[in-house]
Amino acid sequence: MSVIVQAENVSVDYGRKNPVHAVRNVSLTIEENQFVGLVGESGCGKSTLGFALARLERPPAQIISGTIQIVGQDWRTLAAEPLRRARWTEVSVVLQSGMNALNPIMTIGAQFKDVMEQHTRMSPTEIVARAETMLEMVQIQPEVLGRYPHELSGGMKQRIAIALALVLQPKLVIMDEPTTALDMVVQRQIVENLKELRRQQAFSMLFISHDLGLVLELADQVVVMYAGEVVERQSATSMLDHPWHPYTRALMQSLPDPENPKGSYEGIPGTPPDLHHIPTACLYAPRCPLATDVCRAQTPPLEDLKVVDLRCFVTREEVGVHVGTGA
Amino acid sequence: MEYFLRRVIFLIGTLWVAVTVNFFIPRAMPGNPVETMMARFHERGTMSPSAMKAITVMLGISHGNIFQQYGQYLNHVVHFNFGVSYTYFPYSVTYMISHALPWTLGLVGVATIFSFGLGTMFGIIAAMRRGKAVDGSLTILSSFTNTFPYFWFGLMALYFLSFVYHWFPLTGAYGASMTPNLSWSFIGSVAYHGFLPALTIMISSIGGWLLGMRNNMINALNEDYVLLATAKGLKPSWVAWMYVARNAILPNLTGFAMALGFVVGGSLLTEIVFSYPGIGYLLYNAVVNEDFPLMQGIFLIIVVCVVLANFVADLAYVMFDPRVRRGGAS
Repeated sequence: MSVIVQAENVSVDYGRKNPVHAVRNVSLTIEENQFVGLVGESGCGKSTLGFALARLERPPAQIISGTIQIVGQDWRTLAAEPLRRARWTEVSVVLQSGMNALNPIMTIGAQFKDVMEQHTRMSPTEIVARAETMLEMVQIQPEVLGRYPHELSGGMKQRIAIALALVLQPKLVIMDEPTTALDMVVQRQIVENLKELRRQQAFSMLFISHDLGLVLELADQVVVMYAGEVVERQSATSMLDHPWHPYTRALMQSLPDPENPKGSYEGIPGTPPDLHHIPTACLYAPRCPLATDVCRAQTPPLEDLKVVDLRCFVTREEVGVHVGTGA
Repeated sequence: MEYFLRRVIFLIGTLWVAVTVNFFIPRAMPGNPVETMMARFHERGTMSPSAMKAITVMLGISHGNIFQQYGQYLNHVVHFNFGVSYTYFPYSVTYMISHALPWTLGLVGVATIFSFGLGTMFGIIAAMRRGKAVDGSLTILSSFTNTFPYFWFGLMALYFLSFVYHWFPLTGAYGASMTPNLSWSFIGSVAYHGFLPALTIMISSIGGWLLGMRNNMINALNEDYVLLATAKGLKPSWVAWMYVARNAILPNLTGFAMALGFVVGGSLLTEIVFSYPGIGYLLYNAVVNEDFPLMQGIFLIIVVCVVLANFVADLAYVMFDPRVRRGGAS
């Protein structure tokens, strides 16, 4: 399998004076046709990282270090014009709310047309045909091409946004909370749609969400972020059985469990830390039930423990035991 | 279509209210035109009761009851008959307005269109280069020109450029020795005379358009669809125009249509400062001479034009903003 995205030690700050270190030394690899889920609570830097990878960071956000190799090109140092030409043909995005992601004064068709016109040499009839095929893939009638965004429902707009993201057959689609603004029923339709699309067209995906359940269902690999850092990374199937980081476990606990007769689930007490000043300690320690003195005095590294990449002094021992017993 | 029909009904209703108010307000005021005119003549000597009657007949003042007067008035209005001007007797109000209107439309209309066009263009430039030197200087300059009174700028321009340096004429809309015709020399003279007044109007109004457009642009730049347009790798000029500017200009269109409506009212102080023979100057003379028919006629024309401009703006909005299109139907 070839590598689509190879990001090394990416750090993103907000502001220059007294900056917020929103993302710190995050490395991320996405392989061909791989679905990577990026999970964490609000403010953990997951969207900041996603936008930085697509070079869509907006001031005051700025990438302060790291390399972003996408299909052999370093997007961090790429000049404006080559970057513009690489956009959408290699990396496309789906934003949180499709409602605001479409231009209100252009028809849906025109918003498919401009991107194809400016990136390909397709003829007008080919463009229309392609746009209709894409809409079909997300189960929307081709007549919608002549409509304006305000004439469509939120779910339709989000499916159109997904169709639009796939129109040039990009290598990678970055989805930033694509279902968050939608109700559960529509959310389900979108998820089924994505699974179906994956069977029809080859592409990799970075799926950013705060919904661990959704990510575990869709993604091949799950990356958990906390306070701007990766705290755990492993395949979705093994995470389902063995979440190692206390934070991941807490996220699992907070999922509603239909088999739980009491129907209760637990929240995570406390709030994430202030990212202006990064202390020398595990950032999760103040909220962690397992925290020890070491956790409060030293910063745990992200270690490759074969079955999992983990940033935790306490549970790394458990992983050792787990691997040692060959379970 | 239903939208259009609703707009037309609304237009007719508004016009009727405007015309009616225009009828009742002067009648609610104490005194009557004959007394006003008599008072003016009294300064030069006594007048006989027959003279009073003669003036009444001459001015065409009706003695019917208020409803008959109203009916007569409506009939006159639809025939553009606003009576006789006291000041410019024996010319009719219609005659006076029709001779002043083209000058105002030309001067204020052209100045308003240019001001809107340039202001919007510079607003777009400032927003696209926000935080840079171009943006800073444009914003500061327009905040400055926006604050000083336009008649003051007009007086300064008139004093220095016309009176002291004689670069521009002091009064009028064209050379005193000329008669209006379509020759190049006449058009040149009109442009020469109109330059300073037009500049005054533009300088005082361009800042408002610029700042408004810049603010709308900056709001639009933060919209998700602009971020998506960037992600789509569209050409920057295409993004700036189709995604940002076209959305940002919508709120300004209403303001522009209103401004076009007010063009007819003339730029009162500018026309007075430059003795420009437009509607504003005419209105000023009507007011100082208590020329009620002329005032009434001018007010009516202004109101009708503002209402019509609003109507056109509503229709134009439909063209530019698809969201309004089905607003009436659903």
